[in-house]
Amino acid sequence: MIEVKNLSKAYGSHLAVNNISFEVNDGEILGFLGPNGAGKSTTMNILTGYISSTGGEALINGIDILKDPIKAKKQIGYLPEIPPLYLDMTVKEYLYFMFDLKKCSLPKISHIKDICSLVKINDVFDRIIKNLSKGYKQRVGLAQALIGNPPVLILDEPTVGLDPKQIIEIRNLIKRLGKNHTVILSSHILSEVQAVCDRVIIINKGVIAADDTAFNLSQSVSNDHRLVAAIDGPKEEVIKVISAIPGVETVNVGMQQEKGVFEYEIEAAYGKDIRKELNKRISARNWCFYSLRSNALTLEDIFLKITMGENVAISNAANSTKTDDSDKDGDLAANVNSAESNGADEPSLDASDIILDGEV
Amino acid sequence: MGAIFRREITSYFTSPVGYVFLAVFYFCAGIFFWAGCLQALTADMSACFALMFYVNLIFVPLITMKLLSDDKRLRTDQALLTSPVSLAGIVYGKFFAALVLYVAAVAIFPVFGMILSLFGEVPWSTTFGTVIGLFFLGAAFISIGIFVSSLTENVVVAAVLAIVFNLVFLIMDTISDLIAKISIDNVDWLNKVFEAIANGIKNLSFYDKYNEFTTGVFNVSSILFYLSIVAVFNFLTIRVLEKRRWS
Repeated sequence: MIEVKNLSKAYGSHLAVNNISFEVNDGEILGFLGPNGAGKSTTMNILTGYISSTGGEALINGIDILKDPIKAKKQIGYLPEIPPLYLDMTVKEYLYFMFDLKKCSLPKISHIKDICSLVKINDVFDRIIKNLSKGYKQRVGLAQALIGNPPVLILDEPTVGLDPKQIIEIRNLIKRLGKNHTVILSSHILSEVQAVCDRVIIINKGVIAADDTAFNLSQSVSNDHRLVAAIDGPKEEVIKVISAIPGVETVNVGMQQEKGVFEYEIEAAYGKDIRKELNKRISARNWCFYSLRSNALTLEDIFLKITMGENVAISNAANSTKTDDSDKDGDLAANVNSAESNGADEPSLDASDIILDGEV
Repeated sequence: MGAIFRREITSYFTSPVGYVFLAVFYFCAGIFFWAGCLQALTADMSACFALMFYVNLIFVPLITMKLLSDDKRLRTDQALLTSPVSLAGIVYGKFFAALVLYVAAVAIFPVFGMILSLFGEVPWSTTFGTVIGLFFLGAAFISIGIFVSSLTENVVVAAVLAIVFNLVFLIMDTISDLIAKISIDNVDWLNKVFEAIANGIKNLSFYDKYNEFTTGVFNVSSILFYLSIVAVFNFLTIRVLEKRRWS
């Protein structure tokens, strides 16, 4: 369990972290999300005792990191942004060294063997770290954090530099670890946070901009009901029919998907579910649905909205993900079903890792 | 502390640093031994020992330059500082690793003594007294080197700065003499102040105290002086690491 109360960190007059508070419960995976320089790494460095805060306190399982650092640090496994590797050592020497450094009481050889097979670095066990690829270095860094089975894991961008297959493996590993560890992981890859984390904290300019589950976040930002439907029918008439449904506020025609099949963005009044009525009226005219999906905000849209200010129009942000979504619009039935659920709930973003380096 | 000590010792011998240092040290000691003892036909090694001061001054920084600066550069300090180890444990672990390497270097002198004993009477008490002096002198230089290494993340800067630091301690005598020579007519109290400053600085001289050992004087206060230097600079190093956390 991690408790952070009114934590601040000032570099001169620059506030890197400004009065943030949150809690992470046992067995919870918390995602830290934010653009570069938002204060994610600073917060993690404070939590692990690498740097000190200028205000507030951080408790690791009830132990203040500033008052009893040695006891608190024993609870933490930390993978910093740049894995802290001694390049002149072999993986074996390095892990043995970290084992001794952390004063673990577990059986050394078998414990390290277990960790190595967990993060899959058995085949480089005797190689010098300098000569390893970035992905292997990252995994050695992760192995180092797991030594001693610490109850709290703090991982700063754990999947950077890994290939897609490894990313999925490490994500699954983190998910598994999250069952009996408290995990904080930072990322600027939204899909990662969405795939792994129970809860998301969005940090922007040192302040917590949002703290909720991914599902609730997308709901809270977009309570209005938006649908995107691909319908096979004469364009003008379709618009007329849809507009006639009670509750529909605006209908916009999007791009043509196939010959005669257009996408319609439908905005209904708040809290109004028009899907049944829509279905009825379209099928009454013998037109046909090619797809129907909810246009609720994904985590990416929310992220942009929160970090770039409210003035980013929701529909613009939503449009940016359309191209990704359209590939999976194959099955009508499946999509009608999934329209029930929220956009943020769908594992739809794995293909569209947007890395937020200022411009998107 | 133990883990850091073992790592640094291993690191000296998996990289060229340890070998180069030992080779250079043995080489210089060998030349001085040859010139000062074998050529001069004497079993008195004081001339050889006197020159070792300068070898220490220049080459001890080579074994300390990487100790903390490299950690900062490679970000491995994040592993050290987020592990359940105290800052003193980190600093002393590294200090003792360098000291052990240094002892391996200094251990050449008893060997020289044994060679000499084949040809004549070796003044063993003076020889061992000086080796002990040399040991503590080296310890002081090591702690200064580690302190300087904690200030920068550039290895070369760490080495050069450490040599400069050591040089300052060397020329303390000269500085002290210069200050003592200042005398202003009719301002007696000012002259006394200068004299006091000169004496104070003279007390900090590394060279004087070491020289005493080579002439056969085993002065415990000199050893205490070197030990205090070790304590002060290791303390300062710990403060530097602590300060970095707060800035």
